[in-house]
Amino acid sequence: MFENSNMFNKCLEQSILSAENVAGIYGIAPEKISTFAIPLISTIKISFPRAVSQGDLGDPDNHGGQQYAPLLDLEVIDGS
Amino acid sequence: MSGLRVKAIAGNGVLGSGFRESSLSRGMTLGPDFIGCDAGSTDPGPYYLGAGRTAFPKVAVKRDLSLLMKAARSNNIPLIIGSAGTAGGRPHVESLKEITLEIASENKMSFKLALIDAEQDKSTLTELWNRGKITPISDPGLDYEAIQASERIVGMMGADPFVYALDQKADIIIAGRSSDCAIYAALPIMRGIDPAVAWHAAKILECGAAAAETRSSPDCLFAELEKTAFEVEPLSEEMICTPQSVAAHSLYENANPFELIEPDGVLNIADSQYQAVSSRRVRVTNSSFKPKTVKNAKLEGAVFLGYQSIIIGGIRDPMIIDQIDDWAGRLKKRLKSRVHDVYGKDSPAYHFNIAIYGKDAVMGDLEPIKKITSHEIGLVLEITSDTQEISNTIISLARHQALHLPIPEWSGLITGVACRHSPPFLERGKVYKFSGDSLMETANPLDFFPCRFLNIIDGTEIN
Repeated sequence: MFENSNMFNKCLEQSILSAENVAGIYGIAPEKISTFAIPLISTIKISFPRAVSQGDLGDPDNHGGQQYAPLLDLEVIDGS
Repeated sequence: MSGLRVKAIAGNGVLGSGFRESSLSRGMTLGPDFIGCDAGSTDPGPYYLGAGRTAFPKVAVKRDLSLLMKAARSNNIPLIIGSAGTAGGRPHVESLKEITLEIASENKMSFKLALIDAEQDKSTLTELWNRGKITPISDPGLDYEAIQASERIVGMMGADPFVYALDQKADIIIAGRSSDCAIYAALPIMRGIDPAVAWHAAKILECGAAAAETRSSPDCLFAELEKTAFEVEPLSEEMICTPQSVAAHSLYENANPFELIEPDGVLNIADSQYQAVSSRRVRVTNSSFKPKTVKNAKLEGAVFLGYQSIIIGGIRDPMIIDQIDDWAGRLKKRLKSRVHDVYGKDSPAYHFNIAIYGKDAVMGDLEPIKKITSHEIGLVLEITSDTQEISNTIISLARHQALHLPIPEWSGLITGVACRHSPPFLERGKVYKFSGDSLMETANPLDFFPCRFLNIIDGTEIN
């Protein structure tokens, strides 16, 4: 979620969170990634399937709660 | 506003997580038509469904339930609880029923209690599978083999079983596994609220105050439904709902934020409008709902995997950290050979997992950072096998191998792992996995989610 529509629009224009970019970060195929842009709340939602089912042997994150962290290193260029 | 109106209170997002008594009291002054509360989730994982246990402690559940029961009974409005006891199987409904009767007895309460069963018998499911009435929705789904292998299977009920129980004048409903939204959609639909309004309001209500801008702690949410719109506000004066916070809640727990699939149909909120009617209340319009031609229920099963034992430890030696992948590979090989030494040709099967915190324990293969920069790493060694005895034995062998595993940089006997505990391993008991998801056709949902009633007079069950 972006603080304002300006940064949300810039992120979209710069394709920062495109399926290709996100796929590259997580090392998975772009086809597996669904992205939804929701202008009403300046939000981009990204979904992709788990490699291991929730709670199965080797599942590192039952709630999938920490998988967003690598996206925090991305930068949106705030030039006008 | 005039005409048809239904008012609802959501206790919180999950029974036992707490809410402020003052919030519930404030809600009761607004003249609610019912109180709802979700009591379960798959969030805590497959164990609870498999083992028939509950995730929230009894005292915490009793505290919340007691306040909700007293509020509902003293105002003579229904209390509707879904997904009892975390997983919503028979032992889970039974456990919540016991707590309900305990509260009733302590407070000499009188009411008609409805208990709705969501557990599905394997023989019935096998027959339905053979008739093509069960369709996998994951890969692999809950197919013929998974039905046979599952310890317990529940179906997720929609609104119909709740409507039936309310029709039969139930005062308190305790249902097994339910769609979170069905808990809140049933009564409004019965009263003639547009299903799109009822299901969308239910979606916002089902997590309690999670739809508020900043949820400082789990709490109650209030909704007022009209025929074609609804309004929502948090019951704690310290929280506010904004158009953004309510719209954002639809992102939560759904892969597709615009279409929410329910047992009864599909709620579409792509064109929904969110408007602030005060500094803390939001009005929602323009949602749509498409009923399914044949209703269905998602099936959830849990398969027993074995008994687990684990060791928690850490490594600080930079030379071991530098070669940790190789170290872990060598540990696996040495353990295999050691198990063979101990058990001989009848060596038991086991699964050995090494999680390395500080490297990729949180993300596994998805971790983009490959190089370790931490000065220490954490280790969880995990053995899963057919018996607790075997897992305890093999984790003990693994501990000794890991402790003294040589590296080329050091000569002599090294101790390369710091173990946290004595005894060094923890018995984790039985572990389970989810058996994949499927949809089961439920032309008449009441056949799959039967309801029974208990009459409680002054805290005692009367037959």
